[in-house]
Amino acid sequence: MPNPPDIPQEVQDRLNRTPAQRKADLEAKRQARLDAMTLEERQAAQMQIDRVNAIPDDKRPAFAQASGLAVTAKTIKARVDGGMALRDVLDQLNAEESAAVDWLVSAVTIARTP
Amino acid sequence: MATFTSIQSGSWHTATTWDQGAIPNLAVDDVVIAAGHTVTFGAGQYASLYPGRFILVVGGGALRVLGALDAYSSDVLVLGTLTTEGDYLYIWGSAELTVYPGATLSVVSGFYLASTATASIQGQMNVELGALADLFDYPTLTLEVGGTIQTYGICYFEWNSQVVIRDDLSIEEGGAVSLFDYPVVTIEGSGGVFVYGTFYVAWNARCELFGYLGVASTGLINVYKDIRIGGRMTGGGKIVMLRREGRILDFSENPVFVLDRAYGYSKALVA
Repeated sequence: MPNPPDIPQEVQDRLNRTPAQRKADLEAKRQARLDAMTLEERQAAQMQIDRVNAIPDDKRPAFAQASGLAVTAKTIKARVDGGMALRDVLDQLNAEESAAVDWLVSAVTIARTP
Repeated sequence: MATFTSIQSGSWHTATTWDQGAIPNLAVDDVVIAAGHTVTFGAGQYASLYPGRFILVVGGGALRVLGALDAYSSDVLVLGTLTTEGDYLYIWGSAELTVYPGATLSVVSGFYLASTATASIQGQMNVELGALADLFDYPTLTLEVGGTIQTYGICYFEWNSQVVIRDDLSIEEGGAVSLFDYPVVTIEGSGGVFVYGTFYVAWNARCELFGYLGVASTGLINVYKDIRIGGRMTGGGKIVMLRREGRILDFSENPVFVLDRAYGYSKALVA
């Protein structure tokens, strides 16, 4: 790409690399982060990486949604296990949010029904 | 496969916004938001930035994400302003988000950093009231010297996330930062966390403090396990609650003092 004057050279250098090179750069930096982890952490992180890498490109948006949903559910469960009342959570929703949650609960129930 | 550069402000999904006269396909194209342009990624839209691709917001340019945008093993480079104000921005895989000096990441809705992705904040990151910034599954967020993070909303650092603080992070009144399930937050010597809201350290979280942690009169630190001290704790406030199993230890894990009953109103203090 052309070199606009307002882009620092460091950024320009990064952009001038090919997509394959940029991907390799990112993977190398991730590997360095993994190498700095303990064996147990590295194995767990690698399992997560392998799991995501196994997902076809066009299914990744669904995986991202699933991850976000699971993290929200785990967070709420941890809080409720810690003593927070689920009712207090639900009471914070406005009508629109409440309708969305109701839809999700209903849709999950239907989707999981054989 | 091309680099799409904005030629005027407008909708991401309008061909006349771009020099290529078409709408970018983030599976194969890169995107540059040029100086002086505000490009809006519309509500209800979704796009995924594929591995090796990039989005660059040039200084003086702005990208407003009203829909949902995810960047997987790709680069999001911000020299201008990036705002999430509809659904979310999701950075994951080996992706890197870099907010350069003078640039701003403003989270009005949702921001996710997940699955070993990294974010480097060298400029300003704001998490606004009602917004959520959520880190999970081995991501790394680094607040570099010269950068700032200001949160009026909620930040979750959870599920093995790593956060390195080298400059000022302020948790404003009404805002909260919550650590749980194996995150490690390191406040380095140059770093400082200023608590006007709430700072939760819960469920297997670790917060290493080599810099400064200040709690204002409106602030609260809720600690669910141990506090280890290698330096000093000073202040005119008080510890409101220490859980029964909680301890205050020196850095070698020796108890500094032991409360025989931390709940209730026991006056007994065993030195």
